[in-house]
Amino acid sequence: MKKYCAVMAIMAAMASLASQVEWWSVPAMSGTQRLPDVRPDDGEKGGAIRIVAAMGEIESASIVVSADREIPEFTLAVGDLVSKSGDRIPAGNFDPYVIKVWYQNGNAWWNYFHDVGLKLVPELLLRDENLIKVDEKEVANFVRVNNPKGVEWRWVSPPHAIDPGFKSAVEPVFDAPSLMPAKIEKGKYKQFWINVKVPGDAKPGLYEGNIALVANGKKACDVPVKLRVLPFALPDPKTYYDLKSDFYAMLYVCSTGNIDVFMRRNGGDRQNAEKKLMARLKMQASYGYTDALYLGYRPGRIGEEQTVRQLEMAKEAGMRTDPFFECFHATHGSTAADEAPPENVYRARRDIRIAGDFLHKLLGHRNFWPAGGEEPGLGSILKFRPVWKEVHKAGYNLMCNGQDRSSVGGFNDELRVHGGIADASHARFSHAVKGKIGNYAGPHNGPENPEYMRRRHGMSLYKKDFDMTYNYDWCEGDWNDLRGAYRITAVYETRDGFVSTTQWEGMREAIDDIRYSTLLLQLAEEAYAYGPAETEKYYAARKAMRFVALFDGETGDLDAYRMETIGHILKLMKLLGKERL
Amino acid sequence: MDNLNIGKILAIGMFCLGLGCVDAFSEVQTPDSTSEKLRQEARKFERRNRPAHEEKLLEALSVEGISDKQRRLAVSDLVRNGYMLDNAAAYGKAKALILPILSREDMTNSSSRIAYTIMLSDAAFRSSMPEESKRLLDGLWQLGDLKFNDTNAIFNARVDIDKKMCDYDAARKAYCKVFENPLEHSVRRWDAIRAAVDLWSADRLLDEGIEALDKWDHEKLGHRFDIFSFRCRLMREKGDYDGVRDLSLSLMKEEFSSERDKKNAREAALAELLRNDLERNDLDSAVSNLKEYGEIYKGAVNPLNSIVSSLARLAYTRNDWEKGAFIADLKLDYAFKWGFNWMTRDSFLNYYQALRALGRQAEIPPSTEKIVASDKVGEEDAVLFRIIGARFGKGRLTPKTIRDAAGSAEPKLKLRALANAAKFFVAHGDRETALAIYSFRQALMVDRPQNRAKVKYVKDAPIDVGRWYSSGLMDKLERHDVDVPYDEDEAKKLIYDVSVQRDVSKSGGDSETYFYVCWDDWGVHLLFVGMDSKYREVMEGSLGGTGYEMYLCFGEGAPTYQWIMDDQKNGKIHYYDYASQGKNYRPLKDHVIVYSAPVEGGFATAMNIPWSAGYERLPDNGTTWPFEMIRWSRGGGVTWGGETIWQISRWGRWVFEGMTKERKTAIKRSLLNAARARFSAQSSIRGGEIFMWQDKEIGDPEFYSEALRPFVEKIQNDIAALTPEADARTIDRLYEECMGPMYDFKYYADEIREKYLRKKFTEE
Repeated sequence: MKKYCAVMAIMAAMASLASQVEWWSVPAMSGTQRLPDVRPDDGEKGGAIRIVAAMGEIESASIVVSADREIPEFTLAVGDLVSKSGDRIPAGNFDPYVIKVWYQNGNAWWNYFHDVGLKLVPELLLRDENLIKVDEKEVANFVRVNNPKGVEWRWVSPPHAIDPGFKSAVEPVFDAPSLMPAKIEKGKYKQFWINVKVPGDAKPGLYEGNIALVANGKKACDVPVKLRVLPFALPDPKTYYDLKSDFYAMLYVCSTGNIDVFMRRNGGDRQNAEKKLMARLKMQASYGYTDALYLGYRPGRIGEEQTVRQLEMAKEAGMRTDPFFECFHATHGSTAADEAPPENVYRARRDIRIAGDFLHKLLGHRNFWPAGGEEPGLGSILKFRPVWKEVHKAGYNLMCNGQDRSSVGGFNDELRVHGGIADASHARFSHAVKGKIGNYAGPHNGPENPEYMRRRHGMSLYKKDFDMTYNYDWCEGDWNDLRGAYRITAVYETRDGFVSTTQWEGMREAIDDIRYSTLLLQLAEEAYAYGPAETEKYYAARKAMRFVALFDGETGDLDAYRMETIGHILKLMKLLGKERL
Repeated sequence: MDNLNIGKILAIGMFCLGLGCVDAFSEVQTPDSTSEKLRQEARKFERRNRPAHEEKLLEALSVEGISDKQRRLAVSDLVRNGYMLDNAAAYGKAKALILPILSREDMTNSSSRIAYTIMLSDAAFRSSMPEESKRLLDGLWQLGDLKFNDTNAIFNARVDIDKKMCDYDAARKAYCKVFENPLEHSVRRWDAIRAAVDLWSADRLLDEGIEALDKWDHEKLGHRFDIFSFRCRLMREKGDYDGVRDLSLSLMKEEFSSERDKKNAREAALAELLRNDLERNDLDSAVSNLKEYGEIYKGAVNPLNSIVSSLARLAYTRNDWEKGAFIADLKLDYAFKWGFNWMTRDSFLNYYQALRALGRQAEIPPSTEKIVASDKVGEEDAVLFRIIGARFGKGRLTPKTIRDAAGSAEPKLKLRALANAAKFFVAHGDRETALAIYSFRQALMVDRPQNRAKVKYVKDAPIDVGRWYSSGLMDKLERHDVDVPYDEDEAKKLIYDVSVQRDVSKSGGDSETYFYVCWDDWGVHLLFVGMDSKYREVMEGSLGGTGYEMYLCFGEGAPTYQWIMDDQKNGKIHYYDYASQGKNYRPLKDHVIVYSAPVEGGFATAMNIPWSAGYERLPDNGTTWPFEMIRWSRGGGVTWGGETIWQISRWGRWVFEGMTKERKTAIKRSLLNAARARFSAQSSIRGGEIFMWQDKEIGDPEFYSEALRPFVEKIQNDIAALTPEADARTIDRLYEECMGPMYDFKYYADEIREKYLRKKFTEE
């Protein structure tokens, strides 16, 4: 009997080894939901992974894998990529993930609103797919909690009425540091995601190599990888209407805003709070969201020590603090219907003076943009006028979110962050009165669709002449999609860090789209300056400008736009005699 | 008075008694009561209608013979809640009102004079005249015969001006002058030092504050322990936690002649030790302090109790069950002694979580019995704790045990208690019990069945309101009423949905709303009607019209369309897209045809949605399309079935009928013809993609010939088969292969271009 079992085991193992593994290379930033039962017909079966990226850029690629029998342990083994001249992009610069399909509410993928039903949606970029257990029979998600006494599976999709909340800042929930084997079910399709970080000093050129598909410890096949490192690094993003004017990218955060908030949620663990804040700052900065935003400073009262530390951390993470947006709050008006009493103005004057001096000492500049309220209505705008005036008297700019306030304002704020779908007419007005305009809630964070979120944070705003993306919320700190009226999270919180999502990757590409556009138009300006007599340069410049002008940020194909932009950049570089930027 | 008259009066009196008019006889109307009644009436307008508010108060003041006290009340309301809402005018108005009062001959009462002058001073400050405000108050010191309360009022009003102007230095000096003067009344000295501590803290002059506190002659004044706490506060703000600890331990060890002083001293010392721990999040030290000095806590009231509660919460936040349970054990007696409210409910739930984590669940049932037996426990908590007790006492919960535990509690309360109980078990990881309670709870709720509307085929369906009304279809098709009231509180929450502008504030009108829906070869046709008895006023523009918010998906799982019609009269629609336009999503704004018109007793809108908007999702018989509409009328919000916006699982469903093979072929044929026309336009010099790519200046002829031309030629070859004679099979094939590429050619071309360039960039 023993012999029989052994033979069967060997046969099973051999059968497993002989599994026919198929893959499709698919566009990572696609709006197509990649569900286990859907064959990726938009992908190239057996196709190479082709990545085109600038020096220092993070770029994503994706494959969908299927097998004719179950593979309990399937993984990707990334090798170094090598150029013909022998230069290398080390395997360590590749970060592979498995895309977790899990239960989200009925609005998922399309929106961020609450619903009572659940459906399967691809969203999480996990290194260990077993962090989340999806029970299709019970229609439920469970998250793995590594308690000291053993693993516990916590139900994180109970109906809203009976959800006690999940203490994601405290519970020992961790993703793996690198890709763990995932299970491929017979006849099902599983998506893998690969982020590659091109070194900033990589030599431009074509690098080639393979990603091995490994089934139960044995290599099943190689997926060819071709990476073109472009001969330029991307500049900081600028606005479309003015190449000298910065395009600002920031993310409003509630549950993960600053050390104090982290400590309130994690039971006062300062070390962990700093670790999490640094993780947040680095994730955002590396994805182009480099404006630090409000860090919890209350002038003259609480937060000096934390602010000092947080600004150090922000700088270390690569955040920009000049200008410093929402560096403190300047409203000092109650929400009552009456006009702000004079004492509010005196208090505001004092706080603005204290905050300005404190931050000036820390940062060495006074490019401060205090926040003038939280979605104030028109009546509140009237009330806030005296306090906003104090901000201006101190020499600072004022930013404030909310709806169109041109009927009563527009003269006393420098930056309106518009809530809702962006409209070019809002930008026209803001710029006509020498102001700037940002956008949030158009829509809020939450939809898992990377293509849609890429557009909304990037080219849609850029082409409407907006100056800023400022969306809410980056991380809500909860795992249940049935909880609350809105589900506005871009990433999920673990004990020590955050789990990325398809939408967060899309939001990175959004800023990169603007950076590519910026570089293209910068080069076009340079070529254009040669004048019509230098016809080739002049035409190439104007063709590039024409291309961007005709591109519809609302409806255009963003992947095609990227490739076309690169084509124009390379052409202009050649004409301008620039080998490398 | 003769007997007859007396008899008449008695009879009238008896009659009035019988009619309940006794109050009219018994209540004596005085000038003050009349004035007070008017003052109360004025409050209804406070902050909502300033002119009406002021008018009523002036009326209250004009009542003849009112007392000085009543006059002061009315003037105070008028100045503080009326005039002072208008900063610029406040002082002028207050002067006009108050100066005549102050000049009255009977104005001899200093307290009244002071009160009026303070009001005047407040108004001057409000009108940005701080120096005038100060001058008025400083003048009051000239009044003779000032009593303690008078000087207190003048002093506080004066120093408040300094504080309001953020001149904390001046305010602090004034306070210090008071509390450093041993001849001052002890209460005023006490108030002054308390206020000064806040200002030292605000200006971060902590050492100065500590030094001043050291000068305090507390022995005589009996506030020693409070001064101790102030000192500790300032020391902690400096970061001197060790100093606070030393000071606290020293006080803890001190001997006192009275038991009361001893108790107060120890409570104050323990409170500061624990505050230290709380601020530093040092639970180890807190537990150690509580172990050593726990006896002091027993029976103590705030602030000690709230500090201990905060420490317990900190332990639970960290999942530090052992320390949480230890602190909770200390608190248990306390809760029974001082009350059981929602805060302590949480404490208990946390406590039980700790007990379970520590394997002490056997202690839970007796504890819950004790809670339930307490007369301080409300019914909701009794249900909650009975369920928890039953689960840990009897093991698995059955519907019967849940029903018994829920008892005869009021339904809403029962639902809340059951939800809280289920939450507790979810948090415990006991999903089975949580689901059992949840199922029981759901069964108590009236669950509205999902609405379903049959969408029938109608040949050449009407496209505008007039045709709908003359078609007779409204007698043949099913009418669907939109009559589920939208919860008012939920509607108010929509203000937080900044992405969409909608007016939900309308009230006081009709809400009768219904719709009909059908389909034909062109698309889906919806007629919705909003009855409005004031439609004439709406037509003339003196009243605002009805708004609609609608949602539709072209099938389950398809992207959601959302649109808002602000005013049915105009029929203007704002569309909100939650997907990018592309091969699988086309914005409705480019496709839908809308007509609105007044009808008898209201307005109607015909909305026509062509199949072209969702050509890849043509329905079959039985296919369902999620649909919801909300009418934001002057009568409040009504929905077809959803409880709140966006709850797609609760929306109704359109169910298609009559989709025969022939009809579907007809639809496809029509769509293919439309797509072919769009495709042909791609060769146009006016922005056609095919033309553009072949152009050597703005296009890429090499790309065209290598990559795009084969695609174009295939379409051209295939579509040649689209003739009027083409059979159903051919139409199906062409629809499958050519519909998308022709209708959305640009997106297909862009994909080909993207792949072409990507490949080019990644080859040598």
